[in-house]
Amino acid sequence: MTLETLVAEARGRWERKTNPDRPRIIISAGSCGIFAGARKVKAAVVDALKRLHVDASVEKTGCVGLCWAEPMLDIQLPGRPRVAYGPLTPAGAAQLIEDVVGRGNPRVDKALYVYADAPYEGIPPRDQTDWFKLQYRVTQRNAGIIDPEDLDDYLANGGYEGLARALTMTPAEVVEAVKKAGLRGCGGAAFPTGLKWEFCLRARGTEKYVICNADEGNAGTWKDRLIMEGDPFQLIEGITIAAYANGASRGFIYIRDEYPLASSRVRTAAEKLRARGLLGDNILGSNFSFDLVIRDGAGSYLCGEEMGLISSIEGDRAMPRSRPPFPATNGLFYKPTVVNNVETLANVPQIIARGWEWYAGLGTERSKGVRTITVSGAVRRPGGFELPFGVPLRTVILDLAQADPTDLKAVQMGGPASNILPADFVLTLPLGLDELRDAGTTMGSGGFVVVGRQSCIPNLVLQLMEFLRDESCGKCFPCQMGTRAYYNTLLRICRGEGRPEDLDFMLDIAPAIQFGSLCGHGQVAHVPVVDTITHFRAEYDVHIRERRCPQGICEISPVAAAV
Amino acid sequence: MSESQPPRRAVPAGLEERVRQLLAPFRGDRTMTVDALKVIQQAYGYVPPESLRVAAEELGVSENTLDGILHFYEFLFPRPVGERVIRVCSGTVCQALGVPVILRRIRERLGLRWYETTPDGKYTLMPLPCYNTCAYAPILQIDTLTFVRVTPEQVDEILDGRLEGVEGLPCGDGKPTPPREEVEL
Ligand SMILES: Cc1cc2nc3c(=O)[nH]c(=O)nc-3n(C[C@H](O)[C@H](O)[C@H](O)COP(=O)(O)O)c2cc1C
Ligand code: FES
Repeated sequence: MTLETLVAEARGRWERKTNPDRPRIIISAGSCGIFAGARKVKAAVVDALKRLHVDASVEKTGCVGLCWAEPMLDIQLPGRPRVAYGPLTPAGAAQLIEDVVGRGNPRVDKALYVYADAPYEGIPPRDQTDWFKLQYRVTQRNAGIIDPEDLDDYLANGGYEGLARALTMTPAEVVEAVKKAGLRGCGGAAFPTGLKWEFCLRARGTEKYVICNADEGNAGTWKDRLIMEGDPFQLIEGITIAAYANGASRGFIYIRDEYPLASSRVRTAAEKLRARGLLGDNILGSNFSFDLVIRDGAGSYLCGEEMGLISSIEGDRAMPRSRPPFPATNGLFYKPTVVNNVETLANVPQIIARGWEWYAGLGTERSKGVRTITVSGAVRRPGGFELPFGVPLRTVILDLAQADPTDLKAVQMGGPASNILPADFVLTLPLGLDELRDAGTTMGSGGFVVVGRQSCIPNLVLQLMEFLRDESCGKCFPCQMGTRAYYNTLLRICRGEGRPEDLDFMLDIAPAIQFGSLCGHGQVAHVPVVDTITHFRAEYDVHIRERRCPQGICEISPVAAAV
Repeated sequence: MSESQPPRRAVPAGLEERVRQLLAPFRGDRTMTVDALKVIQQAYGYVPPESLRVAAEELGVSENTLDGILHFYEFLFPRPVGERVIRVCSGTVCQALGVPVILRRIRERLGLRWYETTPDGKYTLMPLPCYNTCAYAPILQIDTLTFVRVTPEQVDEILDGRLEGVEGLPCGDGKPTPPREEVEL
């Protein structure tokens, strides 16, 4: 079947679905939503509908990124626009159904926004609300709107236009387009994606691979989960285009084991694509064949490091190899391999479908495009936002996530081993790759963790270091011993047994760990320690000199307290 | 895992045949080591060390390689765990929002530190790096029951079964991906 026929059919179904002749209830069903109680809300909704004797369709969708408003649901009555409500309790949801579906009362008090161009009964349109007006949604454009397991929903919303267009281009042209778009890796290192693909395309050999890195191990980051749970088809389309551009016929997606829902949705999506000839042999009738293998992790942070990821897929411990050679020439099974993050690949279909000029026009001069960031911690409205580069972080943290400006201590962006900077400083920076690099930091994977005043910085760093120590794979000793030395020293400080020379010791060994380690894990393991000693030295001093924890979080040992 | 008192354990009967049967789909595929160990873990609740020789033969790797893998990945258990596994998120957000105090409470109640099992074999305490649902931090899970925005005061209620949790989305149990019906809404 050609794409046109598939899309025409899908559009027809989508039209009927979005102009329903009976009420539609769409439940937000991401992991956040389920943890917040979406299952009970759904049961309450089904019950309420039964009581009202109303025939309605109860559907599901991924998460729009308003994690604070979960459990959420959307209601669309025949001839009316779709309205989002949240946060709800099961009882509140039942009442809402009775009011909205039973009595036609739009319940403005619980409404968040409406999918329409103009306000409806005083409910603002989605894109005019505070949370959406600054966003520019590319990878998240369908999340929270379509059913993540219904291929027709995706096809009716621009799905597979990118791949169809890519198949009319040569692989080199696709790589060139991605290069000109200015797309850079969203996994942390921000390496230009087109350049990486060019290396792989040029590499000798007929057997090549693409790997999608879905091991999102950085605490505080859940952008990849939003994509996989909200719009898995788009990700697979991106992987397929990457495979076409690099001459790969087989690809892997490596999903961390903590993501059962994402894994299940990606698997379902792959099955549906195979059934329609969009994955497998002779995709869309061309002579390009590609299949995707979905692999689950087993709990190891180093599986996110590209070389560790490759080892793990090969069936070994996730131990990084030394580089060079880089994966682009010697990757999986020592064949040329492209490893990209979920969000990076999810950007590709739109770049090809709408043209690189469009993407390159977004963002700032030096950081092009958009990026999904997630904000959590000491904020009132944690969530995920897809923003063009250039938006001030002050707006993101204070207005979008609604942190309390009087309760801000520090911000950590992008994983356990990234910069921990004073909040006042972070609030002066813009969102941007090079812009942040100029300020001596990076945005890493885009997970912003806001640390409030009640947190104890040395204790937080202790916990981070425990994690970094446990996840050190043990292959190179600067990382293994360095994280251990840091942990032991921090533990001593947090127990009130610190020595005055401890801080200098930790600063002294930093370069050895940074320059001696084999992979990116050890190379940055010192960052949280050095940053916090630089910016929050006073807190360490209280622990060391006065043997107490001002926040009352550290467990000062009785011996130390008595001295 | 508990250094002090690992629960007593006998070699499961009929282990060799069972493992060969379980691993039939992976025979000779050395890339599927982790998945193979997960299947064994699903059957026994952990990966019995005695199974490694047979598994190594089936997969075509050395027993040492498998042993290394078993001890490397966090969600593969080389020893039996307690009847109920308590997972506490050890991610940055949960840490900043109260996990240290929650852990202290668990220690006072059950005497557990990370990876330890109570002497009666009832509970094992394990960290989970981050559920990546940090908007609901701190998160605590007992088997498949999840508790979100946990306060230290709630720890007792949770352990006594007085607090209602959310079913589903098992994380870090080291089993193959659950069937769709079990995780979907
Ligand atoms: C310790 C460590 C952990 C990493 N974890 C991840 C991860 O969870 N997800 C990810 O996409 N990249 C992760 N990376 C970065 C990858 O090594 C790699 O740069 C990335 O997958 C490349 O994709 P990109 O160019 O699309 O960003 C990690 C790197 C290191 C050193
Ligand atoms: S830090 Fe606990 S869920 Fe992310």
